[in-house]
Amino acid sequence: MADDDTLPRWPFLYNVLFGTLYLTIGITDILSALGISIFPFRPKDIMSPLMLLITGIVFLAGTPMLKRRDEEGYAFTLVATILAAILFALQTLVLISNALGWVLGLEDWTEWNVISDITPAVWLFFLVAVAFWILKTTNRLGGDKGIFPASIGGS
Amino acid sequence: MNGHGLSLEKEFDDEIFYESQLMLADERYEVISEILCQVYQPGKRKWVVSDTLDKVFLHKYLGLPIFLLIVWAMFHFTFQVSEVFMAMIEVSLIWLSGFTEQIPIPWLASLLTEGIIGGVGFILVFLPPILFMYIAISMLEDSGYLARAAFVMDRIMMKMGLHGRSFIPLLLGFGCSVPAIMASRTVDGQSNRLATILVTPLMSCAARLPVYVLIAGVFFPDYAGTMIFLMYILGIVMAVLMSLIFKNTIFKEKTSPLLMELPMYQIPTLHGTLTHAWERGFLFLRKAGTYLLGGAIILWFTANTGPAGFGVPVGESYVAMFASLITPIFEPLGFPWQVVAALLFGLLAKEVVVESLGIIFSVQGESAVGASLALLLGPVQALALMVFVLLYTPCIATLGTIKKETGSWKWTLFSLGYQVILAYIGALVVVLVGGFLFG
Repeated sequence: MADDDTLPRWPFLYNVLFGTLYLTIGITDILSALGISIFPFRPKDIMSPLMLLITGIVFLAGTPMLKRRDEEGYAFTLVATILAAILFALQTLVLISNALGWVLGLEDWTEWNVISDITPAVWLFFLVAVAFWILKTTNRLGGDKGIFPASIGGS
Repeated sequence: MNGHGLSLEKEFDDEIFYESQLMLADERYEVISEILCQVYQPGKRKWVVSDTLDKVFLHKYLGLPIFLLIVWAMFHFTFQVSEVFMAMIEVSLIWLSGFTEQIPIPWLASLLTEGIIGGVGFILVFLPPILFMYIAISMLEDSGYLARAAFVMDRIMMKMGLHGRSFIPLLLGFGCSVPAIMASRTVDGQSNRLATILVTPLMSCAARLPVYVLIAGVFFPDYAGTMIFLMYILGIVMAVLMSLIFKNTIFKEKTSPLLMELPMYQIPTLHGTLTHAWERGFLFLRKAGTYLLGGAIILWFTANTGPAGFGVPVGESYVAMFASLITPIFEPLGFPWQVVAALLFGLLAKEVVVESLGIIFSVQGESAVGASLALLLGPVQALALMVFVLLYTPCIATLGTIKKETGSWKWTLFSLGYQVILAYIGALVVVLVGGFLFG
């Protein structure tokens, strides 16, 4: 697509910020899972941080296009946000089901605590959602162009 | 030098063939666009969300990692979220068996407690993960992503020698091998179709899920979701690997690229998702209430009857005697006779593997069966058992479908034979590598 100077810079900054965050936390968690601990907490398995890493890569993959204000970059913004939302929804469901087990007093859930289920997938998405909402409501995602244009065809 | 030349020539031929198919597709779209130019007046350019999403979901390099993320999320959801519901059903069954144990007629108490509740009831514990998996598959299907997954995998399938359309039966194989094998009718070419039929049973069907959930929950509690995900990935890898071997040995036919119309993305509806999941769940319940129940009664009877009559200890039963005959073959894998008996009965249907363990151990509930299993197997043998269950013949119904679709006993027996050998080798590799790494 042709570069468009009227497109805003905000999606570029959004992708750089969250791409870096997801990537960094993904890498540090993978290292922690492998026993190279940087932070005191350790992820339950290596796959969850790997998924954060993939999300971070998708965010960052769109940055060169967004930097040149190429509309194609918005696809990466949108998909990376969807992936972040999937990881958040998944962890939230796990948290709710564990809470149900704890409330019912089931044997394997007696020592469960809510903190153990608030993983980076949860709190990172809160930041993503807040930033996305602010950019959307302040019309900094492109107005009639960009991620939410006035005319969306074939949704 | 000559061999290198031949290899280059083959590579060149393949490239030309692949390119010609793409040129054909390009030509087709060019004709379409010429017609459109004459009959359609384009208005203001529209932002099509589906096309936008496809730029990333079908990305040459990112498409596959995104596919892996989504499949992992599906299995994590299936196992982690359903765990609490499984525990609730288990508690209910233990409560119920407290009553049946007190029935004054010993054989009836044993039949109801160990045969029905310990067998079929134990299978019901696995209803939540099966329902949750179908909810996830249904959401992916309704959203339009599943068709994209076929597209993303097509590039790899082509490189491995499988026909692009083979991915659709393989994908259906995640649900049940029987309709998946039937779906191979859409694959072009007799050899391509046969290769697809032979590798489809390697895809991990829903009936294997209870076995994974049981073993992963007991031996790898912190990584259960990941272990199950890895089993599904291993199934795909083995299917691709075997098709590569088949295509380079017994079937030599050119494959053609996948040409398919991609549906628009949609937000799945709650009603549609739950309806699909319930339809599948109902089939599972019907299966549990009919021949899994029949199988449980037969198994209970043979596990309680021996040369000394009825009511003998399970170790002296006909089941133990029969399983002990072939247990030496499984000695290198470290499988005791109880596991061998469960695997044998598993040929009827994969759910019967866990049902059999419940009856043979004469205990109720996942925890109790898991604890009994943990006394017999170590983590390496448990992983080998998961691999064996993944790779050996899914069930008699699958074999019947292969016979019907190929019209040949030769291919049916070949399918049975190669899968059992592959399962044995796969499990042996796990035991040897695991033994080497973990002593």
